[in-house]
Amino acid sequence: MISPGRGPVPAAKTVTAPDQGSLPVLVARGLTKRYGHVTALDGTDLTLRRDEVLAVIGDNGAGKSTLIKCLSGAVVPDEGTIEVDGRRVAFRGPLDARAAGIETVYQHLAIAPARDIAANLYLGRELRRKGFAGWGLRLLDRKAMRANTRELLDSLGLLTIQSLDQAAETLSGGQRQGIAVARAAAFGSRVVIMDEPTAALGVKESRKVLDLILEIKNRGIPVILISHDMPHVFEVADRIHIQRLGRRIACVPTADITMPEAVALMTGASQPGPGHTQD
Amino acid sequence: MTAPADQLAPAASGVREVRSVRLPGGRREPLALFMARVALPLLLLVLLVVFSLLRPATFFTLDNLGTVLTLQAVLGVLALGLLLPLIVGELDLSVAANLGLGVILVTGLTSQQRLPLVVAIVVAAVVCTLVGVVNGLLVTKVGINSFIVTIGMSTVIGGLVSAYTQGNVFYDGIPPALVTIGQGRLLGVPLPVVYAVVLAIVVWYVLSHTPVGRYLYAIGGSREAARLSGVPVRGLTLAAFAGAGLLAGVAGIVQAGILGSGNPTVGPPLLLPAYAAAFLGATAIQPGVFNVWGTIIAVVTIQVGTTGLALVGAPFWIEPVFTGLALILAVATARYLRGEAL
Ligand SMILES: Nc1ncnc2c1ncn2[C@@H]1O[C@H](COP(=O)(O)OP(=O)(O)OP(=O)(O)O)[C@@H](O)[C@H]1O
Ligand SMILES: [Mg+2]
Repeated sequence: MISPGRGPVPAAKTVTAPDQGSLPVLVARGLTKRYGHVTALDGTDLTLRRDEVLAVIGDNGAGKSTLIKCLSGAVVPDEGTIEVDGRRVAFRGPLDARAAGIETVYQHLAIAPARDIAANLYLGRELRRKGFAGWGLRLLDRKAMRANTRELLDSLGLLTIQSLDQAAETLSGGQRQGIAVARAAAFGSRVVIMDEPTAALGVKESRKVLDLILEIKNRGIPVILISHDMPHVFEVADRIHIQRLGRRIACVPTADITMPEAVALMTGASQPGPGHTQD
Repeated sequence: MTAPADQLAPAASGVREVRSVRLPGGRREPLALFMARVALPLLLLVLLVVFSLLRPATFFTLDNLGTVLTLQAVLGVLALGLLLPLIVGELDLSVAANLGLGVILVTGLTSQQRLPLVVAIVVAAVVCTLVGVVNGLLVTKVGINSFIVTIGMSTVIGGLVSAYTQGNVFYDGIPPALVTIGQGRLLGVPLPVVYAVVLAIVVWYVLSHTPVGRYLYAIGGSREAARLSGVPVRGLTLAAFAGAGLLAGVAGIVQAGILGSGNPTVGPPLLLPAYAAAFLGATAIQPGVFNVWGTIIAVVTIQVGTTGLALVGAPFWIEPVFTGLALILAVATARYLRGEAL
């Protein structure tokens, strides 16, 4: 459905050296983030394996968004380490994470309100004309960006938009979310992170996002999905990371846990057992 | 209450029927939005025609046109610079005082310190840019509201200018070359107009045809969204202030050449006209967006209006009344038209 060679999908730096076969793509250890007196993250771990969808669940304020912001460079953790493909990284900003192939759909969508859809899709990675006009005069290639945007939106079938020139602020909440998802799906080359990507979507659109998540996984790109929607989680996730009070209290293969058990762990109604934490 | 089915249909499909026009290139846009785009240029056209008919002998002469445009070229350059902080969502209230600083530096350094003109020009441009950099640092690093920072900066500059000039006007020893910069002509076109047009093209190119332009607008739309998309928000905000400072300095140097003297009072009164131009300009061409050609058209329209009114014998107080009313009316009209269009 998504055409990786053409369109907005850049020549992805697919680092799939054969010896990395079993190495996790992303490993975070002891991430801590404090805001004044609030401890948003309290030494949390996270492991993302190759070829999996990892769901991150937890109560409001459990630190899910803060955790993925550390992984996407939007927040710099006070303590802890992050490894990508076994190499230590220190993201100083979102660009660093993006350069490492990590794309993120933020809970509070990072969409520029007054800009049109193509401008938003390409914000921060604009295409420039070929030749001197591009590298010398920094001339934008708007035609290519528009054409690619149309192609991408058509191929994803994620959202029906009347005009590509519509400013993002005039789109519906669901349409905006569609753009953020499309952007991550198109550009993510190593990891795609989605923080509640279906929160504002209708049934049909949610379905499409879930299909898209599975499709991204089939392309060989692991996905981290944050969601409060348990049926969605149990449908697409291979493993479930349960976050509570700023820590990972359990990480369980979806097949080994039931929905009520997961909810009980998440809310603190039951304590994790010995088999519950595994990387 | 029931509505006929044919009235419900468009709403049900999510499409509101609006009259639309076809733009060059085949795109369509709502008529109201198109009207908003062209309202100010049309007003300019109407003013030109009316005044030419009323005063055929004086208004539409090349000489008069040259005067009209020269008077506004300095304001145009100042407003171009002001656009940059406005686009990133910041205010710069120090641009006009900064222009005045440029005037005083280039005239004072040549006439009092006897520095070569080139050196004086470079020093003036650098100092005015640094003023912008300091504004930018205080806003982005220290985190002070730009309104406060630039009011403070404006006041400080005013004080320093007074200290340097001791209230005097520099008349003697102004290099003739500086006067040429301000009063010369290129193929009959006054040089200040040439500078304004060239700078307008440069700023327009950067704003609408390069990634940096998109980043500036994105920052103004949502700082956080821009940051998360990898836009260097702080650096570009700083650069916007620096650009405003540089263009204020350039405007000051040109103003010094036009006047042929260094008067400490010339800068500050340009503050409100520059804001009027930027906001009036944001009603035209790309309504709702600070943009270069709208700003330029606004500057020219205000001047044509006030010059024309003077030529037909309107009393002196008509000028500020005209400018103020034009601003409020244009913004109100654009809002109304856009509200209908969106
Ligand atoms: N920028 C911030 N400043 C201060 N406190 C913050 C900030 N960001 C997060 N927090 C705090 O950190 C804690 C974790 O927030 P976070 O957004 O990570 O939770 P979450 O698990 O994503 O919740 P939700 O399910 O509601 O999205 C909360 O107590 C929140 O108040
Ligand atoms: Mg959250």
